[in-house]
Amino acid sequence: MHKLKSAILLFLSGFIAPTSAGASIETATLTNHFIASAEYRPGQSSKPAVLVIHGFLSTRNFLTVLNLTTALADSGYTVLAPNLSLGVNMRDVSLACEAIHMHTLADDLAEINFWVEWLVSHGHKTIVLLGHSVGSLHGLLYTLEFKNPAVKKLIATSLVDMESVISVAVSQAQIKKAQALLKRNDNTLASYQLSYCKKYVAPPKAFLSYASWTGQSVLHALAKTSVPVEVILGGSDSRIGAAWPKQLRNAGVNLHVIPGANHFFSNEHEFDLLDSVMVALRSVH
Amino acid sequence: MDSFLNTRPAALSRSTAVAGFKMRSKLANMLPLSITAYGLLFILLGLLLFGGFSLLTVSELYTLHVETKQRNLHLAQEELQDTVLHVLAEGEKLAMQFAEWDESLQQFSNSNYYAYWRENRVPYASFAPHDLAGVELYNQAGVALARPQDNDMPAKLSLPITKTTLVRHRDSDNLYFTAPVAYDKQRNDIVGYVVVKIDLKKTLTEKQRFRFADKNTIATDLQDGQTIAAPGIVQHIHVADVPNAGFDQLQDLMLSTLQRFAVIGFSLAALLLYLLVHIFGLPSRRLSRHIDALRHGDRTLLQDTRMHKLSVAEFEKVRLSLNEYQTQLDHRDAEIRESEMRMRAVLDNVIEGIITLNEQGVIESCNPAAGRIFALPEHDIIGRSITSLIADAAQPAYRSYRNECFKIPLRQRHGNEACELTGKRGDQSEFPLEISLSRMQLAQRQLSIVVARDVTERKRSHDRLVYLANFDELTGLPNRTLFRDRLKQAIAHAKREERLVAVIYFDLDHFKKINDTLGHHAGDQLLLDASKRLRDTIREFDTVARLGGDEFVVVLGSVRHVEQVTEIATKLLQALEMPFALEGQEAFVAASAGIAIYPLDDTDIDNLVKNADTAMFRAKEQGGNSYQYFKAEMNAKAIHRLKMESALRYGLERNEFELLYQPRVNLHSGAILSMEALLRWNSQQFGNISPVQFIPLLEETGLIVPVGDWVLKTACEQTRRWHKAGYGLRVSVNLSVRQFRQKDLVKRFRSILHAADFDPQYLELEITEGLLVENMDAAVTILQNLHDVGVRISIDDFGIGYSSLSYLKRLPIDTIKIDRSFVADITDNPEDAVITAAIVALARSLRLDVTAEGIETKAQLDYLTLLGCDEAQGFYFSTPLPAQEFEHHIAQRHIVSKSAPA
Repeated sequence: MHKLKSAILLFLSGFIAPTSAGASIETATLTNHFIASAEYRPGQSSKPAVLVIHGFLSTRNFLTVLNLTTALADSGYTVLAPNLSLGVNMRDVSLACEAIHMHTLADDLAEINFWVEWLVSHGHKTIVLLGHSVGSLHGLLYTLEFKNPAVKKLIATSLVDMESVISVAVSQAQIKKAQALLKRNDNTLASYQLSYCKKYVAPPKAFLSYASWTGQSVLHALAKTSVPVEVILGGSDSRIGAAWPKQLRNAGVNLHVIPGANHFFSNEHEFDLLDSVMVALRSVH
Repeated sequence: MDSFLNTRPAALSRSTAVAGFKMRSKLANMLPLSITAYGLLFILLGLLLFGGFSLLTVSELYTLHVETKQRNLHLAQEELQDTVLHVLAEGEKLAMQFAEWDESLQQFSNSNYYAYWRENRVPYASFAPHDLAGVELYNQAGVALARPQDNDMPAKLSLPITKTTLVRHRDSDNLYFTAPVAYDKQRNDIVGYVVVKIDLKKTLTEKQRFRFADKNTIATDLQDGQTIAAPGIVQHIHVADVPNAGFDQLQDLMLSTLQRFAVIGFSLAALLLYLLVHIFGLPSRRLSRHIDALRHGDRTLLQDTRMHKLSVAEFEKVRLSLNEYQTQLDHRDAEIRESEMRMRAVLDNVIEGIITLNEQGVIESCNPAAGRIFALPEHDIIGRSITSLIADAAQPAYRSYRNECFKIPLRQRHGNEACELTGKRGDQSEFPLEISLSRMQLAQRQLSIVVARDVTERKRSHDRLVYLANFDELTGLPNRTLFRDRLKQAIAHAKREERLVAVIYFDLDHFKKINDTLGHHAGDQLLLDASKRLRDTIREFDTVARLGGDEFVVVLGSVRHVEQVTEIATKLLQALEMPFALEGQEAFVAASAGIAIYPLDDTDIDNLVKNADTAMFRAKEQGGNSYQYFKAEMNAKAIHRLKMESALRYGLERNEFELLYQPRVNLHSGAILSMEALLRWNSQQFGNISPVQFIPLLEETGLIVPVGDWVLKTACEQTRRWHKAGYGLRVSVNLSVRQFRQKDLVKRFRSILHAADFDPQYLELEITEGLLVENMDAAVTILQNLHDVGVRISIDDFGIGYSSLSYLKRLPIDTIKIDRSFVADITDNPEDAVITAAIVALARSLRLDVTAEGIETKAQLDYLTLLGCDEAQGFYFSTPLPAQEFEHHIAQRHIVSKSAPA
């Protein structure tokens, strides 16, 4: 049913997105020769541009991301919402968990950097990274990997680590297993549990690039980044640990919890999320 | 009895449509079907309908099957083609989907994990059908990225590959769909190709749904290794047969439905039958039996406890109502029976006969009493006309009575007065019957009820009472009451006829002595014998009555002369003088008689009786055994009469009688052709007695008979002598009433004529009209017999006696003799002349001779001659003459012819 709903929304988004005023699909050949695309909605120049990063294996048309994109664009913000290629040219559908995942996190970060520089090249000096779920992790890790001065803020909605859904024990075992294969230069595809994927098929290197980002790692990253981070979580997000909000607060993270919202800020919490994002964006000049 | 209570219904009319009427009646009277029969009939009809429907359905189904199969075959083929085209389209689409699948493109970037892609991702692609036979990727050169696992998949594609192809390989027909894979779909920079293989047969038979085509009969006509490129592929795939699954389904459905219907139907039918039988049938049958039993008068079911409550409310109500109604009927029936029995008992025991008649007077019913009254079985009476039970003589009286009864309106429901008739029994004997007739209306019919009573006993009793009221019980003689009545009648009669009535009062001498000495029984016997003797002595129309004790009285009516009384009184005394046999002994009683004459002595009845009584005492004082007239002079007359009577008795012995002859002159010829013989008595004691005196005495005493014989004999002998002398004379003699009454008159006359050797044609008997008064029929017979002998008959003294002239056409009369009374004044009295003329004319018209008597003058003679009279007799011609003088007289007169017999 969820899939059907997503498909319907996706279908409808095909009509909505192109009809948005000024919206365009920008394509580019990446350095890895994959062709990626991003939806660009130019806004007011007085307002920062927002680079929206979708969740794990998802696309910019995921409902939560699409709503943010649309709302921000309607509010006059310049929005750029790319689809991370994940090793697929012109990827515009979610990548199945069972697909062979050759992409690495580093590839994702490089692709994000591409788009940041694209925005800069298009005159946007103030850029806010707005991520959702693993996209928030992407944004956080980008701020650590690529210190682009144009990026003024990171708004991390539903920030998760890669162990958030699976147990730590399983996660550690998988990591160990993958490390063992890597050590043997064995690029055998293996099926791992990663994030919400119960069967994440990837070679060990690709797997480890994501799986190593545990909760602690994320907290460390939060502590290390120089970009202001504002985390917005749903009070009923079942994909995060119960202690995660506290851990984030303890880490000194600017955390805003929307009570009752789930990981995707569904239903009325969509507006709560938007309000929180707007508030977070107003502080960016 | 039953027939009396149950009035016979009217008979059915017998029209020409009686047969149809009987049929309709028969059908109308037939009972309808029972509920069970209706139920069975309904079930049978249902089964027939079901069977017929089933047969019809099967027939239509078969036709439908054939047509449907043909149509379905056509449709199957079309469907197959459409399906193949769809499969082709889907296959092409599938190839395009694989070509566009990001993971397919990924393989071209890194084919290290191609095996994983082919084995783990391709089958689980969301768009990959389960019957996907194979997917392979080929590089731009058309070389497979990996060695195809399926030998059917080519290791290298023949380029350009643009069309879908169907390849038959061994037993399988596979479709190969090729689609280019490009990095940029918009730029269409092809990096390779994807080839999707679909097992056509498997797809068609396992994955596709056919409405019409039979999967098992789909086949291609390709040879092994033959390759056919689209769009020609469709032409090589065929459906050999169609399952007509729809029909099969329909058939199965129909059969199953029919089976279900049959099962349901039979179940329902069985249930219905059970319901009908047990709920309706049995109860209705029980109810029907109940009603039937009641109809036939069987009341036992009323008390049958097994007739428990019926299962249907309406039936139960009917049963209860029936029982209640039957109970009421029983009560009413009992009342009616009791009433009927009472009625029956009344009708059976009543002594009156009760008869019902229909409108035609036919007897419909009667009670036993009627049978007893008419001495006929009841069933014999029924069906008769009521008139058959009534004597013929009483029919007019019955009809008159009935008509009177019918005049009374029906609403006046009271019995009519009774009518006394004479009934007729079965043995045709008649009896006094009294009936009373009433009318009634019963069921649109008007009936009559006749109550009949045999009143024989009542009448007998009444008669006895009447008898006892009028007759002496011991002797049977009229008693004082009746005597007075008889005397009154006799006086009334005598008064009309100017006759006398004599009352002779008798008292038996020495009766008391007899009664005292011999006893009352002897005394009664004496009275009986005396009364018998008195009764036997008197004339038939006289009366003897017993006034009481030993007193009797005799009423002599219609007495002409006192001498008659004397004679009868003398006879009566003589009769009583004869000894009586009493108690084995002879007893001499005798009697004393007193005579009173009406109207000479008195006209009052009581005075007459008293006078007779007085005269009786006078006779008793004179010693009894004699009579005395009330008036002394009558006694002398009586004595004189007796003496004369006595003298007359000896007249014949003493030859004191003589015949004189008076001639009758023929007025046409003037000749004497006949004479009348007239009797004269020259009594030695009394001298010449006028015929006026002695002839009545002869008549009264009965001496006229022997004297009359003597007259006839003498006249015939004398006339015979004259015949022999050459005188053809006819002699007429008078015939008296007493003579005429003699039964052997004709025989005696024939005897006398025969003895005298006399030709009857020369004898004429003169009779008077008074002779005809008593019995005309007897007179006709006697006179006819005499006439047959040859004797002529003449009516003497015509015109002064019998008033009716009808005898003239009945009696064999030859001559009418006009009475002298008319002749005497014929020339002076126009009336006598007219009467005489009429008599002559009457005689002429009847072709009778007419003789006038008493001619004394010439004028009379002339007149009579003028009238046409045939003969005349009278002093004018001659007085009656003795024979010798007569002979001398006729010798002196001219006789027309001597036609005397030899």
